Formats: sequence, C-alpha cells, structure tokens
Amino acid sequence: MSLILPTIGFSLISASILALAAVGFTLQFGVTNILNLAFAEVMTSSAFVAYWVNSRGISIWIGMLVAGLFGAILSLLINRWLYRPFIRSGTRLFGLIIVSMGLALIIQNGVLAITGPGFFTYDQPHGLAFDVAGIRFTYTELAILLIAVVAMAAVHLLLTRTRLGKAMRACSADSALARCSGVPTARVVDIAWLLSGALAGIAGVTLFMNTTAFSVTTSGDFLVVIIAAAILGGVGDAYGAMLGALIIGFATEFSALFLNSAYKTAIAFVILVVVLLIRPQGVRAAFAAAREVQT
Amino acid sequence: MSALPAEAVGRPILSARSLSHSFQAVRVVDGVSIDIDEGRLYGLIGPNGAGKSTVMNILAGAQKPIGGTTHYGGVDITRWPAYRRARHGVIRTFQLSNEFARLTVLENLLVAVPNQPGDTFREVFTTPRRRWNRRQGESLDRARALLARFNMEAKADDYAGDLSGGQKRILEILRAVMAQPRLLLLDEPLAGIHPRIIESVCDYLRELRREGVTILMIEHELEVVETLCDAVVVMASGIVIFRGSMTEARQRREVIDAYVAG
Amino acid sequence: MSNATQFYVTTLLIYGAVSIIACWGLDLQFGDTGILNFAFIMFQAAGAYTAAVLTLGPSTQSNPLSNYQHYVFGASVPYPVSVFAAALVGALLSYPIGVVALRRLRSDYQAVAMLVVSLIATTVVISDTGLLDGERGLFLIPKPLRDSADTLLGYQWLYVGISCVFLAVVLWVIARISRAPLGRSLRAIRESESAAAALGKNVLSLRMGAFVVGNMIAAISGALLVQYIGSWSPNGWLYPETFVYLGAIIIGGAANKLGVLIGALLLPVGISEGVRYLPSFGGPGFVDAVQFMLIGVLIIAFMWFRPRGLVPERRRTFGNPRWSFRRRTPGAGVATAMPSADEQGLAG
Repeated sequence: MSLILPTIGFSLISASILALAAVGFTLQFGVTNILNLAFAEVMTSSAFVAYWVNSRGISIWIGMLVAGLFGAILSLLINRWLYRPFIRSGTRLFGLIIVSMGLALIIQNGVLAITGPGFFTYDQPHGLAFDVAGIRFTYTELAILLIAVVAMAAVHLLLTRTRLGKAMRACSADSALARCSGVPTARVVDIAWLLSGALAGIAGVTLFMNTTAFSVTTSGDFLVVIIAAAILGGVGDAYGAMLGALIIGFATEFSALFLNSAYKTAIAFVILVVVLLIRPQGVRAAFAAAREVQT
Repeated sequence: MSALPAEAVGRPILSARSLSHSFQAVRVVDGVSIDIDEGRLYGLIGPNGAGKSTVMNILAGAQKPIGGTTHYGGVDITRWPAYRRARHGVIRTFQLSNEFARLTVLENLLVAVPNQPGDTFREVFTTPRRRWNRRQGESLDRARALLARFNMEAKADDYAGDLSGGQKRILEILRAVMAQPRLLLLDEPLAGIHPRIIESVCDYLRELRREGVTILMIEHELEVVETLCDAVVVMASGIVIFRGSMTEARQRREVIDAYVAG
Repeated sequence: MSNATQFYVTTLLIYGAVSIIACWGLDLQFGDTGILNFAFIMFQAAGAYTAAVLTLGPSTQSNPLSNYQHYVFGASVPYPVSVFAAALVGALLSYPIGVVALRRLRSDYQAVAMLVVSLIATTVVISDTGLLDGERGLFLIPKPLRDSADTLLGYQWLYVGISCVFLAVVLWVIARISRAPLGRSLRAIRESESAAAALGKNVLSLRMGAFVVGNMIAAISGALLVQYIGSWSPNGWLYPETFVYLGAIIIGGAANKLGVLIGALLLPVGISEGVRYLPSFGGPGFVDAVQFMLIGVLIIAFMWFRPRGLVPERRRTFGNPRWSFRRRTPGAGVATAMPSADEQGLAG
C-alpha cells in the first residue's frame, strides 16, 4: 500500500513532538507528583514567544531557543510562586489539581487576550524535501525529527551520566527515600521544573511548526495526548514516555488510514483510558521493577 | 454488646493460613498463620519491618495477599473487601491516625454505627426522617457516654482534625467501638497517647474483652503487652517466630535474637 | 418595571436557576463526596441533547425542524417527560463512566480520565455530524408549554416558575441527602476512603451513587437550559466550562448549599453579565478571554486566601445546649493531661 510509507513518516513526526512534551511532563510529574494541567499552556505561551521573536525577522531556530528558555523560567516560577507556597501551606493533591486548573485558565486566556483568536504561521524555511529510506520529509519535518533525537539523547545523558540526573531518577522512584539518602530534593525539583519547561517550550514550537496555521487553542487537547504518552510509559519514566510517544504517534496516524481522521486524537484518549484501566503503572513497569532490583 | 457465655470463650473466631505478601519482589509477609480465639486479647509484636502492619492490613481486607486464606467464624473471607469484613464485625484502626478531619468528633463516631437507617441512597428517599433520627439519637447517647469516659465530651462538636495527636488515637479506638466489633484489630493504639491516659485505655480494652470483643493489637511497649494480653504472636522478617504467652516469649532465644537483630 | 427590564430580569433568573442546579449537582460530587468530575459539563450536555432530540420531532422529511439538521432518536414527547428522559440518560451514561473512572484510580488519574471522557464526547459529537448535527449543533428546539402564555413576557415568567420548581425539587433531593446519615458517610469518604471502608462503608457504591445523582442533576440543568434557549452546540460545553462550575463552588463554599448558590450566581452568571456592561474594548474574543482569566485568578486567590469559600461548610452539631456550653470551657478533660505541644490546633 502506497499510504504506508508516508504514514510512517507522519507517525515519526507526531511521535517526535509528543516525545519532547511527554518526557518533559513525565520528569516533572514523576519528581513532584503534581498533575500540572497548565503544561500545555506553558507550551502555547512559549511557542507564541517564539512567534514574537520570529516576527522580528529572527530565525525560528533562535526563536525555539528563546521559547525553551522562556518555558524553563516560566515553569520554575510557576513552581516557586504558586505550587510550592500551596504545598507548604498544606494543600493536598486534590487542591493542587484545582490550582493548576486555575493557572491553566489564566495562561491560556492571557495568551488569547494578547494574541486574539486569529491564526498564525512561523516564518520558516519551506519547499525543500528529502527522501529518507523512501519516506519524503520536508526540511522542517527533518529538523523536528533531529531536534527530538538530540533532546532525547541529552535527557538520556543527563539521567545516566550526571549526579543530578541520578538524583532525579531517585526522587521519581521514591522521594521520601531519596531525601533520606541525602539527595537535595528542593534543587532536584527546581531542575525538574526547568527541564520540563524547556522541553515544553521546544515541543510547543515544533508542534506549531508542524501545523499549517496555529492559534491559542491548537495545543488545547494536546495535554491529554501528552498525559496518555506519559502514563502509558509509566509516570516518571523518561524512556517509557519516549516509548509511549512512539506508540501513540503511530497509533493515531495509522488509525487515520482506517477511521475518520477527526478521530485521530480520540484514539490517543481511548489508549489512555485503556491504560489507566488495565495498567496504570505503565507498560514498562515490569522493566523498571527489574532494573531496581539489579542496581 | 453482652458478655459472651463462658463456653463461647476460646472458640476459634479467625484463622489465617500461610498469608504471603510481597512488595517489589521482597517477601514482606511470608507464610504467616495466625489463629485467634473468641474473647481473648492478643498482642502482635516484633521488631520494625517484621510485617505486622501488613498482616493486619490483610486481615482487615485493606491489602490483598498474594497467597494464603483467611477464615472468619468458619467462613472463607479471603476474597472479601474491607467494607464487607467490617460489616461482619472485623473492625480495624490505623497505625497513623486516620480520622475524618472535617467531621466533628461526634460525627466521626456516628459514621461508624452499623445499619443506621438512611445511610444508603435508596433509604434516604424511602424511609422517613423520624426513623433515621430515632436510631441516631440512641447512637448519640452512646457516643457521648464514650467521650465522657475519656474526658473528651468538651470536644464533641470540634472538628476531629483539630484534636491533639493523643486524642485522635482515642477517637480512633472509640470510633472502632461504635462500629460494634466482634474482632477488633488495633494497630499501635497506644502510640502517641499520654502515659497518664494509657492505663485507662488499657482498662477499657480489658473491659471490651470482658464484654466479648476479641482483640488483636500491634504494640511496641512490651510491658503493656505483658500486663494486657492473654497471648502474643511474635513476627520477624515476615514470618511468625513464636506463639504463646509473653512471659514465655521473653525466654525464647529466637525472639530475643529477632529484637536484637531488628 | 418596563417590559425590557422584565425580560432581562427573567432571563437572568432562568440562567441563575440553571447555574444553581448544575452547581448543586456538582457540589454533591465535589464538595460532599470528594469526586473531581472533570466531565461534568458532558452530563449537562447529554441532558440538553436528550431534551432537544426528544422535542424536535422525528427525524423524517415531513418534519420541517429536521430538514436542516441531522439527529437521531427524534421524537415529540410532552413536557416534563423530556426533562425526566434527560435525567435518565444522565444516569445511564454515568454508570459505564463511573465504573471506569471511580473504580480503582488514584484521584489525579480519575480527574484525567474524566477530562478524557469529556474530550472524547466532544470529538465524537463534532466528528459524527449525523448524530447530533456535529459542530453546528441543534437549533429551533421548541419551547415547552409555549401555548400556555399569551405574551412572550408571560412565557418568560412561566419559565421562571418552571425553573423554580426544578430548583426546589433539586434542593429537596440534595438537602435530604446531605442531612441524612448518608451525607455524613459521603463526607467521611471525602475525608478518608480507607477509614470509611474500615467502618463498613461500601466506598465504590456510595461514590457511584453520588456520581449518578449529581450527573442526573447536571442533565436536568441541561434540559432546562436547552428548552429555554432553543439551541445547543459543542461550543457550549467544552471542558473548560466544567472549570467554571468548579470555580463557582470553590468561591461560594464547597459542601455548603447556600455558599454554592452564591457562587453559582456570582461566577457563571454574574461575571458574564458584568462584563456586558463594560465598554467593549480589545479585539474579538478579548472580553471572553479576560472573563476566563478572571475566573482562574479567583480560583487561585480563593484557594490561597479563603480555601473554604465565601460561606464555609457548616459544622454539624447535635442540638444539646449543655454540650455547647461546656465546649466553651477551656482546658477541661484530657487536653490538660496532654503535653502542651499537643495543644496546638485546638483553637480551630
């Protein structure tokens, strides 16, 4: 079937964007245990910062860097100024979800108030196309793919080669235990927010680059797809999130071959519900448990 | 609650056979068997990490064992959920105070009353309020009498979350009593209670036993266990290492070793 | 009052009644039982669609109302039956979703699952245009009992009356639940599921009951609204609308019927009416955006400064003057025997 190869291409692009966001989401959720409903709004606002930079005639790649930086700082401040005070004053899981819901409303509509409901496009390179293994990619798509691979490799190196990354994994596995073992939790939490914000910013820009025209609501339902990938991979497990992103990327794009393409995201939702029901600990939980016993 | 007839005391009420539980590939409970006879007061002791609380959770139905069976009054209740066990008289307290913080002390006690009319969605709309209130009035009298016994009547209308740590522990015991237990599972009921009050709690537990309530309690203070309990079950590293009297337990090599090692 | 004012006031009263009904339903779940139902708006929509298709008439060529829109299960049932049917659909829809979401998920995952359900529902209704006319939505939905009033204004007042009847019925239901021993059990579950289960409460079934009843009330509010405004489309029930209702409850005071009533009037109705009087400024959608921002700010501000809301949950005492007198006596009883460090927090 001639549709298979292009669909693989689309799937890889979707998975790349999703992986960037899902890894960011899962690192933060795993370390802090806060279900941050405002994550997609960090993506959106960062992507619009990139648009602002881009509209000044500066390359979108610089814009992406700025967006990453903006996302990182925004996330850090959100934690410092909002979540941390609430946690200190004794707000529980339930209350924090409400707070993040309020924050999501503020950021999303704040951006909407500034930009208006119109549609925007980045000034990005067009036209060029490459054939890779029989799949045709545009220049942008190839760049997104590359950015995702580089970012994932960086996350991998951070988690395995640095003390900080190891501390982060320890916090994710059991924060009380990590604290007992002398891991500086507050710093790890800060880094988790920074990293997750940076990835959110980059993911936001790539998401918007990959759509013909974007608006404030473009990433609206994306949060649930991100959560689906993160939970599918097991909360806190960066590699699981990558795997989850791949699975959901392929599942959604290939479902479009058989179903009305409007149901594409619905497929991700259904996967999430099924995972929550039968395996809320994620697909890789068995590996994770085995790994812990070994080390 | 009326006292058991003399011949009933000593009849087996609960028997657990080879209960097992593991946490991340570690066997925290490994083939534990416990027999409990009606009308007696048992201590479940052992060093930290012996698996006592896990056993209690399994007996209460809060955790599912990966192996083993539990019989209660001759019925296999292994697969019964916690609420069903509670309805048949297996009532437990928690190691960490688990009060209903934004309910008043009296409400905490009233929640526990079994078979209270108007406590299901159907009964709310099919039974008259008079019926709920009549029953509730009786329960209120009982609840207030219990509070008075521990000098807590002044706290009756306070939020349970505002009580001191020791008062929360007492509330937890009283709440369990309001649930009309036949088998009471107490997880460190005396932890955090002021030494001066401990004696009156112990007296109360003895009184409950006289009234026919069977009690299994986890307790660290061995002196208390010795004076209070009819028999002890000693656990270490997920297995039962001794069953018998406390005096005897003190002389057993393996028990001493377990405490020293633990 | 001039006719125009009367018209405006009656419209506000109807919107207010719908909003209060919905918030009371959500509060039964959120305030009393501790269920974070992010799919609440979907149940309101389910009620609205049910009432709509059951009054639009059969979806055949001969029915002029169905010529320009596509929908299933068209019928013309007499009034209040459409509302009862809506409540029934709300209940039926609650069961599968409740079984999936309430069963064994952590509370944050429950919230996510509900959010997902809401999104799936929106996607399905928008994508499958033959089902409920897709994105365009249903319109020209007949007003019930229209012939009973001679003038449009008379009808407005009639519908205010109808709304008040439903308001009263819903209040009776939730007040009865709240005052019954059942209400105490639900609040116990909110405080600690494990402790409630240890006392013999069937947590799943009680939470399920609150979920179903709350969603039935949501469906009734939807039916009441749709038969008044005459149209209904997916844009009216996007998931952030649930946040608005939740915000109303948090601001008013969760688990307090009066507080929720005030919140329901302040937030969904008050704010959207309030901004109407502002001079129009900014681009298209600006005012809406500011409105939602304001709701977000209010939610966070209340969570910080007044987490129990404007009218906090009532402390339930059992009338006995002797006890309330004794309660004022400080230092009586066990407390004096406690180390003083243990005393903190007693003042609350």
